[in-house]
Amino acid sequence: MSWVEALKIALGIYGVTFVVAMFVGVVVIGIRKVISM
Amino acid sequence: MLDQLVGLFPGIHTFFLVPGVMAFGRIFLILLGGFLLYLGYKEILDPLLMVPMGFAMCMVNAGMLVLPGAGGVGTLFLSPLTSHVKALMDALQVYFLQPIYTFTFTNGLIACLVFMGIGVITDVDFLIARPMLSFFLAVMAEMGTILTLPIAVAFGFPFKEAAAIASVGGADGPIVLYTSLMLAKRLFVPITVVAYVYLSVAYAIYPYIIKMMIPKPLRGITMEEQELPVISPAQKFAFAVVAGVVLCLLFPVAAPLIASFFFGVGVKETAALKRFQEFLNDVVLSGSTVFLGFTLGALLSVDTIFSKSVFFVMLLGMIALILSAVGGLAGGLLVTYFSKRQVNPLVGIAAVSCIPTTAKVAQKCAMEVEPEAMILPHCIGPSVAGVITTAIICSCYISYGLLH
Repeated sequence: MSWVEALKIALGIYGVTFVVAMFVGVVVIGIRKVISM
Repeated sequence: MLDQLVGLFPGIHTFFLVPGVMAFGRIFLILLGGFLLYLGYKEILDPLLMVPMGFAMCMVNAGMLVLPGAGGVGTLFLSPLTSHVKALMDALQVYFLQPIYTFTFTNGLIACLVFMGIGVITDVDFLIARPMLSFFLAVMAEMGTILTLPIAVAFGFPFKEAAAIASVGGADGPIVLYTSLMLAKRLFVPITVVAYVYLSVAYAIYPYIIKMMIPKPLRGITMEEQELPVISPAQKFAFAVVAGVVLCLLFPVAAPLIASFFFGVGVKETAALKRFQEFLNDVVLSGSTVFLGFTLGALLSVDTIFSKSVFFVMLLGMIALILSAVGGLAGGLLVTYFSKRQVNPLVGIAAVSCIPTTAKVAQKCAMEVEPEAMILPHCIGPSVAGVITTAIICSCYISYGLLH
């Protein structure tokens, strides 16, 4: 595997991490609202 | 007469049975172990890990003897490369640390026990109060975990080993341990040791990176006046359950670590489980940290450490941690800009995780400029989010590495 391929994979994983992290953030906001009701 | 003396002190005799480089290597590692002990004893590096690690490192390199069955010079500590069932059964009866290594290291149990203990002492209030900010900074502070992968591949490491080395950038010891055990058993010892030693070193290096990247007036931004919503124990408990289930569902390969961490958080937020909290904090976390440090030290014998690849692991580990700090601070600067200077950019470096070291570094650097500045509470959210994002990236690495 070349470093360019590895960089593409790493950036893809970075994108996945960003989306999942933001999703968990939204879930946290949802929990906060539901439980405080 | 000489033969009798040699028989009486086989530890000294073994210095003459190995090549000169290895003999000097043993002496060097004994001295290095002593140095780690000194740094731990003086609390310059984390004593909880450095003292057991330094002790074992000195002892394992001193206590070598001729092992007839093992075909050369060895120790009675442990045999990390034994995997065949029959050889393993023999090893369990010979090496005194072998049961701990075989039954807690090779399956990642020790990392999970440490994570359970970390969960029970982690405050998730600030993460729940400001989740988007915390997770944004945490993702930015994963730059080292991401960019070190192609750099390590360019250095000639195969994908799995490169990914294990890159995990050092997440600055989370148990996750590094777990990832390297899953992906790079050959390099598990140096990667884990480098991670744990560097996490202590981060305390010394990060202030210089902060001073290079963040202008003085921004370092002194105070955040006291910002009110955070009050988070109830029920909300924190629900967060532990839901976030744990979601992340286990998405990343089952890291489910043991994720489950351990969120179970610890859940126990902390359950008033009826006071005894569990004390047990996990006092017994599980302390016990697993002692054996983690001591066993890692025992793995630092001369035959494991002296190789070219270990030198590169040390170099790449440092690159990973520096890149993560740079990414976190860049994220902090962005947040400061978009919030119109309501957020101190130093909060970004706390997102490198390594609870609570980086948060303390951020607080210290802010107080140097503005003695009244209190940013520590605001650092805890990004710091906890950093643990979660590191777990996500490493589980992606493990999944990809095991599939290809």
